[in-house]
Amino acid sequence: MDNGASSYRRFLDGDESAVRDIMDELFYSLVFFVDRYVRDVHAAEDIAMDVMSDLFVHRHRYNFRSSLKTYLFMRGKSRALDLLRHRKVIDFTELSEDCSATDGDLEARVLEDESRRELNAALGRLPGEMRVAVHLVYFEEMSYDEAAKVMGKNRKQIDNLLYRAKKELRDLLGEEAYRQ
Amino acid sequence: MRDIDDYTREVLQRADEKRRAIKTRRRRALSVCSGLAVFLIAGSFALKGIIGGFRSGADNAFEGHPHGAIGGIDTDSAYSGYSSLFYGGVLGPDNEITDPDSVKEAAELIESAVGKDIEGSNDNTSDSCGDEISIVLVSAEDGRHEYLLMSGGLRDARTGKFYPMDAEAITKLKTILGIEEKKD
Repeated sequence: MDNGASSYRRFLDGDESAVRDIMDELFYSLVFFVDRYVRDVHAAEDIAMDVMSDLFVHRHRYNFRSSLKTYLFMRGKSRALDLLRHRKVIDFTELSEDCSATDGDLEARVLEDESRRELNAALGRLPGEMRVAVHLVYFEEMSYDEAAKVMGKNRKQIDNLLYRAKKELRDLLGEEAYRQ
Repeated sequence: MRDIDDYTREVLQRADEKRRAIKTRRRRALSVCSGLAVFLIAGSFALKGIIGGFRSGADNAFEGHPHGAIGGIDTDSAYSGYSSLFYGGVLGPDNEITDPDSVKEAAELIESAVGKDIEGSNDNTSDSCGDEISIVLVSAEDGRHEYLLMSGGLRDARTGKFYPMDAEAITKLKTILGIEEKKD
């Protein structure tokens, strides 16, 4: 699995059906990821569609140096932060639980595993950067390097964020649930 | 959440709109650039013409003709390519004649005398009475033609050739130049 890069090559070679494959593979993950920032599934959808359409319009912006997923997530994060700046709602830590709840349908599409859903619910209560780091590493199964690239941090910072996030989650879920 | 096909359709639609917007932007930028280029080219030609005109006028003005003839900017041809007429003795804009009819008439008189070329000679002294008038015919095609109007005819200032003219033609020429009052 190359996270859509081969499909994108097919698209560049003129295969229009590759668009559907890329969408299938990455769209919901992108919406879910953007939603971590914007906490509004409709806004996340809009951003994800914009990022995807940009990918198909500006054909040579993606240079295959990172995975397509990493590239799209970087773009998605950038757009999400733009939106937040626009809304002047940058403070992730003040989000209430109600506000942090994601669309159940989206969650069901992306997270098939029940324990992951529980983790996702708890994740909503974590501070912003920790939440994104956990999302990228545990939900998107990105490497630390890829997560660092998407978040614009170095590997050590991701390591620290994850360490602190685990500690917080342990407190939130309880030791037993965390082990599960 | 909608079906992935709906999202794909919308993404492709947005991509199409963006492509169209980009094309429109490019087309607009191109038309602005080409308009600017045309404006600059036209402007440079106009500027060149103005500078050329000034230079031509300045050259003539500072050439320092021995008889005080002055020059000016070439204008449209009125007759045989001649566009203006200057006559000397006195420096100043009053000495310029650009009226096409006057220029034409003067050029006809001069050319009829020069065309005869019967008594053309290099004798610089003949018929010189000391009060000769410098006449400069300017044409866009042939440049300047300088003559000295004397009591008995015209002398080519460049070659020194003398072309006799009858008194009537001389009077007529002087009238055109405004040196002599028209006799009714």
